[in-house]
Amino acid sequence: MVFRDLTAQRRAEQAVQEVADYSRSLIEASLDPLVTISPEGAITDVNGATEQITGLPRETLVGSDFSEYFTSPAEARAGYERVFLEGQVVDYPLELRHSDGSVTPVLYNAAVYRDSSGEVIGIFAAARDVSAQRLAERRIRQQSQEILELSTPIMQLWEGIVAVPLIGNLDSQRTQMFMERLLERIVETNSPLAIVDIMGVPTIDTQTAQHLVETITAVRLLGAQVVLTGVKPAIAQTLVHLGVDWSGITTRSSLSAGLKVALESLSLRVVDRETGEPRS
Amino acid sequence: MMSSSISVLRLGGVLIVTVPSDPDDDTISDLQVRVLQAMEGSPALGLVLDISTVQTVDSFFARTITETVQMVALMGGITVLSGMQASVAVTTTQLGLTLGTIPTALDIDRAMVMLGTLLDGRRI
Repeated sequence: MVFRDLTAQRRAEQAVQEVADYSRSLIEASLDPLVTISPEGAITDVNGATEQITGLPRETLVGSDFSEYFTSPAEARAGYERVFLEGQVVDYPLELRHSDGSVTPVLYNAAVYRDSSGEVIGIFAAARDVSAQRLAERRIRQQSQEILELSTPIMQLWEGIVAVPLIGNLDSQRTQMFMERLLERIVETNSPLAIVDIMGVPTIDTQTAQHLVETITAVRLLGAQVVLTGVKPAIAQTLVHLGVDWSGITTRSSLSAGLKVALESLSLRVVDRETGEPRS
Repeated sequence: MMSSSISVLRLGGVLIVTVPSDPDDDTISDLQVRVLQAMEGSPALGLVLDISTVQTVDSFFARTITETVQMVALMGGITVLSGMQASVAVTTTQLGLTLGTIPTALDIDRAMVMLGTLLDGRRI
C-alpha cells in the first residue's frame, strides 16, 4: 500500500480554482458584451453583458450560431472570417439584435485564441455599445445642418431684388452652400440684383473674403449683380489690409443704402405720396 | 457636320446665337468663325450669346468666348452673355474662369434690354 500526501495537490487545485473564479468575475464584471466562438461559429461562452444586450439567457446563447444575433448575419460572418485570416479585427461595426426587436449599434474587437500547442481553438470577441455615441453624432450632424440652413435665408425684397443676411463666421462649406443657394434663387426669381448683407459676420479672413469675391463673380456670370452691404469699420479695415481686389464690386455701409442702389439700378425710386417728391 | 448645329439668328441689328448644350472644342471654334462671318456679312451692333443650355464650361470654352467677344468688339459689336446656369456659374468661378468683363444677363430678354441701354441712342 502506498500513501501519498494529497495536500499539495489539493492546494494547487484550489489555487487554480481561485484564479479561474477571479478571471470569471472579471469577465462577468465587464460592461462590454464578451463572447467566445468556436471555429465552427458556435458560441462557447458569454458574460452577463451579452445576456443583457441580446435579452437571452446564456443557456440559449451557448451552442447557438453567433451570427443569428446580428441584423446582418452575412456581415457578422465576414468579420468572423477576417479574424481567422488576419488574427484580429478592430472596431468592426455591427448591429446586435435584442430579443424584443430593438437594435444596438456596436463596434467589435475580436482576436483568435490558441491552445498551448499554438492551435487556434476559437475567437474571443468584445463588443462596445456605441448607441450613445451614434446618437450624439447624429444630433451634431442634424444641428450643424440646421445651422447651415438657418443661417442663410434668401428672401425676395422686391421684384428683381433678393437679399441675404449673412450671420456668423463663414467657412468654406457654408460659403459653398450659400453660393449655390443664392445662385439658384437668383435664377428662380429672375432677379438681376442680390443684396448680400455681412453685418452679422464678426470677422473676415483671407479665405472668407476670397469666397465672397468668388460668389460675387459667380453671380455676375449669371447676369446679376451683387451689392455688398453692412460693411462695418473693422471689416472694411480688414478687407483693405487683406489686399483682395474689390474693384467692380458695389458696396454700401447699410442695407438701406444697398436697397437704394438696387432700386436705382432697376430704375425705381421711392416717392412721397403727398408731394410726389423723391424720398431717400 | 458640327457647324449645322449652330444657328446665328438676326433680330434687327442684333445677332442671337445659342451655344449647343455640350460643346466640344471644334464646335466652339466653329461658333467663333460663324459669328464673325455673320458680323462681316452685315454688321450688327450687338450680339447675344445664349448659354442657357450649356452644362459644362472648361478653360478652352472660356477663352474662346472671351476672344470672340473681343473680336466682335473690334468689328463694332457689343456682346452680352446670357442665361448661364447656377451650377455652371459655381464651377466656372471655382476654376478661376471669370470671363473677363463681358456683360451678362439672366436671360435673352434682359440681354436685349441691356444691349439697348449699352447702345444707348444707336438704333438696333
